[in-house]
Amino acid sequence: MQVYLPIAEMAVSAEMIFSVSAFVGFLSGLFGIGGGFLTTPFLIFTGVPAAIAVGTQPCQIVANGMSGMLGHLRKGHVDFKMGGFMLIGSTVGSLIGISIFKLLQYLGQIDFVISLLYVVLLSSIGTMMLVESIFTMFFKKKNMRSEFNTNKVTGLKAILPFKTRFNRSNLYISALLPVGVGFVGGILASILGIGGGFLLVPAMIYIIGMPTLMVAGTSLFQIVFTTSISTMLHSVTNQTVDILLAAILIAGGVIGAQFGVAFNGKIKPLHARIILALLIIVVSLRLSGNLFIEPIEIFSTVVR
Amino acid sequence: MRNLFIIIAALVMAGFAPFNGARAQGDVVIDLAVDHVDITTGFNGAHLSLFGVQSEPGDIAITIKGPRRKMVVRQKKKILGVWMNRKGMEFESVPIYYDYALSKPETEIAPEDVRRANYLGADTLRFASKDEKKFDAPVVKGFQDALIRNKQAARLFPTEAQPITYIDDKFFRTTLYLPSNVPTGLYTIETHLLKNGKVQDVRTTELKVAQVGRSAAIYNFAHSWAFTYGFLCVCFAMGVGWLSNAIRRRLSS
Repeated sequence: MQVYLPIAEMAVSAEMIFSVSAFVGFLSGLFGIGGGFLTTPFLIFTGVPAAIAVGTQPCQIVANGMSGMLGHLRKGHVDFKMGGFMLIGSTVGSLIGISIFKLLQYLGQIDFVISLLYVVLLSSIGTMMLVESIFTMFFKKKNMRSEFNTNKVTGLKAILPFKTRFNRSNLYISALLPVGVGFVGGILASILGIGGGFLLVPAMIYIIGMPTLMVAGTSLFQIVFTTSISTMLHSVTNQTVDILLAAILIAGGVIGAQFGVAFNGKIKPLHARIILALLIIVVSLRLSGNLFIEPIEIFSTVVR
Repeated sequence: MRNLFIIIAALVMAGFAPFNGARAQGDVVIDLAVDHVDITTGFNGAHLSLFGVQSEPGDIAITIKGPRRKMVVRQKKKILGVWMNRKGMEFESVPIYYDYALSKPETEIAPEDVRRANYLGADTLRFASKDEKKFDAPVVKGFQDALIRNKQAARLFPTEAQPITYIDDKFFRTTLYLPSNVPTGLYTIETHLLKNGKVQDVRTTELKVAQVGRSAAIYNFAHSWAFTYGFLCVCFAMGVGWLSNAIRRRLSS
């Protein structure tokens, strides 16, 4: 069924968008990822303008993240104070990100920068995950994470001012750390249209040093509000939030996630990590084609 | 898939117009049966059927042009092994949509200068640019050709003329296609009556392409109440997220 998107001003196949968002929803239920990094490039492949894809995808992440966050909230696994400081950073980051987005759009480099950032982020994270998983598989080291040297950052941590006590996470650290991590998350959300969980979670563990139990809920708390702000900003500054597209994405995501959660216990976490790592690498390879392969048409036209 | 058929009756009648005193050769009169294309949620392109009547022999050429916008054409270059946009050229006023129909093959209907003057054919379109002085003539032509190629790939410019078929000596018809990504705005349809390669008369009529119904309501709301619209989108998303969590909890307990 073809559906005319009122904001994108084009018709898309509703089944196709729905099936992809359901598939991504399935993965997000299975792996506990947001999946924005898979949906946004897909939307761009299908011909949805990058501005609409990046503007609308955060709206889907709000729904997805909200559902996940409530589950963690009930168990008391959300550090509101930490999340609040991250949110300050991400709000500033989103505002700057939106300006960068507009500037790049004006310069005609937005597609290039989106592809480049995706390739750099996805290929490095995918490779790291894959190496870590394979390492664990062969050497049976259950706790690779403790091998990472957190002392390196402790030196820097000691110097930073504005020390604050975070009771939930049992930390006494500089408030600049969560603000800084949130700032990066905010920039990514507004330029790439993703929640940035795949970057925030490791940052919260290794840089902030939060207990793993609190990380998922707190990052989701931060993601829900950052993507909400991002949605508002895209709506006000560019009018690129398509509610009909968002509704199809949300419906697919919610339904797919239920199957993913149901499937969760049936697959070994290690195998799941390897599959996810391979998937991330495949997406980054596909996107790197945009950068390295000579395009068939070297000219492109946009309305200014 | 639903196609919208719009019937446009173009009455081309030589010597029928009220102010024909000054002209010796005959005039063109056009009338539209339906002067708008409505874009709804189910819109997936529309066929525009034009019917016309002609009381005197001559050739017919019809052009349709969408609203004009400023467009930028950019050229990719390989830099450090990576393909990225480098040179760009801005064109001041490009019709977002263009199509044409001819009753005779392009080469026979009129000499090139007449075709160029009346924009009969995609190859006759040339767009002005402030950046023209920055580049050499072949480079400018390269950009102009690329603009037409890109528009043709998006199906917003034609690759060849639509045929005009005669039902009898006087009645003719043609069908133009508006794809689903057709921009909204006011379109102008120009009907030319040509005789021996010379334009006898041109009559202009307008076609309004606009979103209607729910689709238009969403568009207008998002543009005039952007803050409220964004806020409602967020509320909707949060509500669905909450609901799905509630349902999951109900199912698992």
